[in-house]
Amino acid sequence: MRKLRRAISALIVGLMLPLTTAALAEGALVEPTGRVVLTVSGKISVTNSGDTARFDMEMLRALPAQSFSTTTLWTEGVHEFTGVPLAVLLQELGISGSTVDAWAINDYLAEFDVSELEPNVPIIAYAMDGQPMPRRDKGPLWIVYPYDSSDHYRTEVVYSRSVWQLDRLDVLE
Amino acid sequence: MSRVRDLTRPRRFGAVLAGFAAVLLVLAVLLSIEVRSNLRRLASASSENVQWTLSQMEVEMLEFTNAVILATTTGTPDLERVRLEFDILFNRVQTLYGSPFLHQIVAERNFRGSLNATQRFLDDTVPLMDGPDDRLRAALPDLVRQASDLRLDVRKLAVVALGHFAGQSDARREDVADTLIRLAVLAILLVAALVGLVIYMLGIYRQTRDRGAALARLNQRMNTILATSLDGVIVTDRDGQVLEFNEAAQRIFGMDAAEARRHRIDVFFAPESLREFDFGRTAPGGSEPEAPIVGHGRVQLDATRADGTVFPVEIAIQSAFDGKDDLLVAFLRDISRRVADEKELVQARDRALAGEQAKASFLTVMSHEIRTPLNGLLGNLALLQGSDLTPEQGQFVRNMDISGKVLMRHVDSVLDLARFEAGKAEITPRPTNLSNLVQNVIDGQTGLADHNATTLDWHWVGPPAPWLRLDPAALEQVLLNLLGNALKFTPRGQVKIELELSGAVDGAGNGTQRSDTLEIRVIDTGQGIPEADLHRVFEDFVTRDVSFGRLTGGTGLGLGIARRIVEAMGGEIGVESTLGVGSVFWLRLPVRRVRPGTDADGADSPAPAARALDILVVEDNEINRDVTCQMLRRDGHTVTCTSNGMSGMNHAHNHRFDVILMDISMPVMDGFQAARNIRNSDGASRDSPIIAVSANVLQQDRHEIERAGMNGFLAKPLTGTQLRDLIEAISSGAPAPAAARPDAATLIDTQHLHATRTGLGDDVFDGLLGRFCTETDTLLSDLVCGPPAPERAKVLAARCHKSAGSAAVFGLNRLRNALLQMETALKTGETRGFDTQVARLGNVWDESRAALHPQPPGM
Repeated sequence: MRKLRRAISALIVGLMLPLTTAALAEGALVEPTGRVVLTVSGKISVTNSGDTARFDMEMLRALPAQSFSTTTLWTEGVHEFTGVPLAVLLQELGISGSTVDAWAINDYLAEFDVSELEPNVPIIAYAMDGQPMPRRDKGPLWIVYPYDSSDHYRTEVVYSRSVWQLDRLDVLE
Repeated sequence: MSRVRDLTRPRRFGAVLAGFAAVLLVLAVLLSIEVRSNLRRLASASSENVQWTLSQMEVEMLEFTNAVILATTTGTPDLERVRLEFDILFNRVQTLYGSPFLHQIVAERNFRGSLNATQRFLDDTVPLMDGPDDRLRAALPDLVRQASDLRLDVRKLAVVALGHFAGQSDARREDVADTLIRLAVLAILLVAALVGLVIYMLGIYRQTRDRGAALARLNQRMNTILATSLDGVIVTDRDGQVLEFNEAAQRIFGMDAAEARRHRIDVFFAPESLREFDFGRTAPGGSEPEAPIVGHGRVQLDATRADGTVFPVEIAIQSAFDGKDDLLVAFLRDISRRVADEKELVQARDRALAGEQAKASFLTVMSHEIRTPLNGLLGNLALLQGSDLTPEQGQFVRNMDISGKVLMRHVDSVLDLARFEAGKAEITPRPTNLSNLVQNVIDGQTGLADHNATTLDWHWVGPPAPWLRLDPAALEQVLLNLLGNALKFTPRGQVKIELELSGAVDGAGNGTQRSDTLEIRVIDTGQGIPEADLHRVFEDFVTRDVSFGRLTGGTGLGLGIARRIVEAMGGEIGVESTLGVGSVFWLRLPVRRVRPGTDADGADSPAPAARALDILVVEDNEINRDVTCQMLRRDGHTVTCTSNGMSGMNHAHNHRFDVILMDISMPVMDGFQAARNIRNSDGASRDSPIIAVSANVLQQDRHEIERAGMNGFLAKPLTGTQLRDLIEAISSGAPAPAAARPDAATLIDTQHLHATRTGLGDDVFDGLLGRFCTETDTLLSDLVCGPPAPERAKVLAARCHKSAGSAAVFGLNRLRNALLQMETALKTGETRGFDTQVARLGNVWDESRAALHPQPPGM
């Protein structure tokens, strides 16, 4: 039942997407009201704080979400991850660069080639099994791939790109 | 044998090689899978770098420591930063717990202790971090100390993990290296096996190529053989469709091979030959037996050339199997030439045989023609000797007589030879006293022996066995020939005859019948015979010394005749000789011992009282007739002479003669016809004995004589003795001396009748006789109705035969004869003169009854 409800809400969100996009496109990215969890800088056209775009949890939750279940190398058992696909987020922000650096709070860095991003993979997960993830356990934001669905997601590169405790994105040339 | 081994060994080797390669291939596949899974394990990098986590943990520990130290040294400590660094460190440690590889390292004692200490620190610090700022601020110095203490543990975690994973990584590398090496070895082996296979395949290829070449050579050779064969060879399939048609066949049939292959084999043979030849017509079942001609050697058939001419061929057909289909192979040759040659040979042989026949006839006729006048000469000489002659004339007459007799002997020799050639000589063995026979022969030759001053004697070797069953006349002739020869060539020497009987129990018999071999050796001390001539002495017309032969008047036939006689007696004859020492002529005869005293020639019969008879002589040769008549008249008989069968018949009709001497070959009517007419007439002499007189004494003539109703024969030339014996025989009522069969013309054989009556007893005899009379009466009454229909004729013929048999029992010879003639007439369906014949039979029957009457029952 819950799955069905989630699917319906996802559908509703999907239908509303053009409207939100239009709102963002006007540069009217809302100001974060809660604690800022993600700051996007660099070659973006949509901003809300100088030339950066800052997101609180609510803003991220407002963006089109994606869910999948998978095991990871760092957790035990199968978990359901929910979050915004990276490609979606970058598109929302009207990026003009081709490379994105994803930074963690411990200044860990992973580089993404924008052209290689799939529409829904990876996601910037903000919930595991429907619960927010604490900072002491990979949270609050974690770039996650559906590792179980394909060999392609079980490579060293993919693992190195699974950045946890994500807090910054920097769009480069 | 070695070839077979050559073939099988590489094949087995190849199989082993292929099996080996297959095993290697399987191994290679398995290894590849292993390598692939290894690679995948490497590729999927499921072992997230724990070392990275641990070294990060160390870095983040330091970051945390720095943040705490920094906070203690400033007036307004950045507690948020301390909390952040704590969370980072905490997260790192939690991540380590989440790693699936942790359990590998946890087993290390150092690691577990340090990890526990770290976790304890974190757990203890969490309430502080989550608590109010002033408590945290107050605890900062303590945190610095604790963090400093913990640094070594965190460091230890990283170092221990480094060592552990380095070892593991080495092991995995070795593992991969091993796998790769195994794979490499396997690859090398696989390649080696493949190279082996290639070499083997090359070998096979070469072998196949060689074999193909050998086959081609063999094929070439076969084709050459077929092409150069003089016999035509046609190969067909089971249906007779031509497959091969060699050059000889093309030549024989005048058709090229390509054309021939369009035909079935039938077209090459004449339609009437094909009946034997229908091997091509397989029945629908396909199990039709092979044509009769197949596999039966050479058969002669008529074949047809392309231009339609028919010619004979000799053909042999064999079925064969070429590994796939049944084939028929026909070898044939044109035998037109041979057949023509054979025909010519057969004609030549027939001509030669006809020539032989003509020669034999000529010899017989000539001897007859010579003997008749010679007979006249000798007879006249005998008469001349009886007349008054001066001593000188007497001597001349005796000389003439001797010469005449020599001449007569030669003619006899030729006649004997002709007789043997014609296969008409008869050997009639009878009990004979051999000692007497040999003594007589010796006695007969003493004159010649004395003349040559040669001693002559004979003796038995071993116990004497004089009584033997053999043909005395034949043996006498052989002995005379051999003895005469020996004496001729042994002047002033010694000639002796040795007799030896070697007994042997007859193997085929039951042991009571003894079959013995009589060996007679004629040994002389003469000049001997050259070895080169030994094998020729028994051939005809061979004389060893031409001049001597002429002097002694030899015809060169003596030994040839002797050989023929001995062979006719079932024996053998041979000669051994040493030049200048002498010769031994030997002969071996199969004989049988008999009881003494049965010699027909041995005992002298008492001289019967002479009786004057009334005799008719029918003879066309004037001189012979005069001689015969004179001799008979001198013996006191009444003689009537006539010159041909017709007048003889007339005389016989008008006058009753006691005996009729009838020449056979005569003009106007021959002796056979005349005798038949006399027998069948109502004339006065129809029952008189008729004796045939002929120089021609072949067996067939004897039968003819018998058939004509004559009672015997005398061979020309007639001698006084012969005539006297004949007269004596007739006077005493005995059968004619030379008659071989019961007298067919005698009305009734009273001796036989008496013998039958005595044998049966009066009662039985009378009963039988009565039945016989009734039987014959009925038969005759049935016959007088005229010629019967064929079916009835058969029945009547059988009854005639039966009656004839009965007639013989009662000694009714003439009736028996007449019945047999009747039977013949019925069987042949001869209707001409049937009534006459029936009438004659009736007459004979009446007479026979009358003859039987004087012996009524009880007499």
